[in-house]
Amino acid sequence: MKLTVERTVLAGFVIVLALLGTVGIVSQRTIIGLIEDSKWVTHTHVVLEMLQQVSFRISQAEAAVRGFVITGDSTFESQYESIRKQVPDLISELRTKTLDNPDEQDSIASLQALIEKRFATMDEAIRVRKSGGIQAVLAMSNTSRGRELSTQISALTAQMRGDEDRLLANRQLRAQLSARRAFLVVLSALIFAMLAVIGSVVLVFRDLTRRREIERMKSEFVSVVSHELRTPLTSIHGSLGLLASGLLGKVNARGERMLEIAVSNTDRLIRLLNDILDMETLDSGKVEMRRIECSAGELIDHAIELMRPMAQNQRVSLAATRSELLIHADRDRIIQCLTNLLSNAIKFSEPGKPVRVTANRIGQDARFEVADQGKGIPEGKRTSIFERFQQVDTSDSRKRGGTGLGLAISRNIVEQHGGKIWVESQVGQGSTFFFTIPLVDQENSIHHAPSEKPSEIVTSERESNVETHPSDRR
Amino acid sequence: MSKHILLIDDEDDIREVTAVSLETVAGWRVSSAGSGRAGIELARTARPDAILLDVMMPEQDGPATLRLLRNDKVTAEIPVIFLTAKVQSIERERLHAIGAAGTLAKPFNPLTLANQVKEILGWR
Repeated sequence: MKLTVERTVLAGFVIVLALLGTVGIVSQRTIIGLIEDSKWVTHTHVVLEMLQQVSFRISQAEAAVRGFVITGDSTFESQYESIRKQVPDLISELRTKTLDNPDEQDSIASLQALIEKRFATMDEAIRVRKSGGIQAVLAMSNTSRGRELSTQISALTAQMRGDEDRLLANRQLRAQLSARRAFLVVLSALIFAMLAVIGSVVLVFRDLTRRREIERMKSEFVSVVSHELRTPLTSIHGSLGLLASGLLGKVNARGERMLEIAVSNTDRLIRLLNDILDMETLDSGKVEMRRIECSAGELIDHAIELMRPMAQNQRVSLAATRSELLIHADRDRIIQCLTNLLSNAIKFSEPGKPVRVTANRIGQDARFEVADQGKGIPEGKRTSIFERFQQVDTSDSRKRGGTGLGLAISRNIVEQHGGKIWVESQVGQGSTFFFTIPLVDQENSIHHAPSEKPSEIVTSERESNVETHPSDRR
Repeated sequence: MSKHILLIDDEDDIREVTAVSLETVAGWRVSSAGSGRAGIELARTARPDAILLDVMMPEQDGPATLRLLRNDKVTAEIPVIFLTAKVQSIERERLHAIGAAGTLAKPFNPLTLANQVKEILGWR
């Protein structure tokens, strides 16, 4: 597979898109991770707080029992009872908070068992105090058992708090690592994406520069070649013309015919050269259309005058419909366009047939028409004839002396004016070439085109039949 | 009255063909020079009615030659028509701007060349 600039740039952009996609996914995951992590921090704090609450309640309960044993005051007893009722709730809440952690669940179960045992000893103490007084309590064999349970409970809660702290530290460490990894991934992806973009831009610019250089060389080459060919052609064309004119003496009939062929072919060569140069200048965009306000009718008249000798030779009549439309156009270029179309129309008309030129207003444009009654253009060719060197019949250029560039040049001119060119044709009945050129902006124009009058202002159809009105204007 | 034309072109063949064309078609007298320098010398001595001047010539090109002709009192008034192989209108305008009476494109039609010269100079 050839590695063209287009492909490389496309690949570059695909890479950039993939990298940006990666950045997006990684960022999203990291953010979700961070949110999760902060939830865990809160969660850990809640659990720690609850564990502390449990320890605190136990101490409170122990203090209340001690108070009751010493004083026998029933306030202490009811205090104890209320605490005793609160603790199971705390435990069960703790249990639901740590559902995800089986180790903690186990610890909570042990804690609960220890607490229940501790409460049992305290219940026992209260009961004994009520029945046997303070002495009976002091005589109880299990007082040391209560202390032992208390120690165990504090040890267990301390251990659980430690576990929870470690868990939090682990989670934070993991979150930090994943954040750092994400940062590295995002950073390197962005760096790669930037490199890919810079690479693509550099590549495109280099390619553009190269193309411009090639374009410049091509246009220079065409103009040099055209000039270099023109010098010998001037001598050939001049001497052949003089010989063929008979001014320098007569040659025999066959010689005359040979000279005629030589002259018409040098003519064709010159036309070809001119058209190639013209096409090249138009293509390169070096020439600007010098647009001024001009009369469509006047341009048509001018083009007809220029083509009259050719029409005369072919015995084709040229007719124009007067038009007073004002267009905004490069005068010489529109005349060139019209003469190209007229030349084609004359070439493909049988002797005695008319070629008609009109201009009508269509919206904001003047639509020029050059109609002939020639052999017509087959449907498949109606677009391609506007391409360079594309003729209906490849033998046409030889038989009819065309260059194959006339329509391409005309299309270029029309398009540079912002217009369109096309052909409608019926095989065997003739063709009509149309092109549109913007009208002079009515509001900004000093002169007013007769906009109210319909375009078909066929005031007089000036038949300029070549046989009856030979040209005298040039 | 027969006119006297001076041709200045570095191409021998073009000079010859142009001379034959103007002599046979219009009956003018034609002198020719193969360089701008020689052309100016000839213009000073022969005082032609018009000069046909090639644009692209080695050493001293057409525009340079025109400038020298204009700066010389003897030749300043002689009309100069450029013969150029560059046919674009920009080129034509450039030559007109430096004082040419007109431009004719190469290759020219040998049968109508004299008429074109007449038209440019208003000789008819």
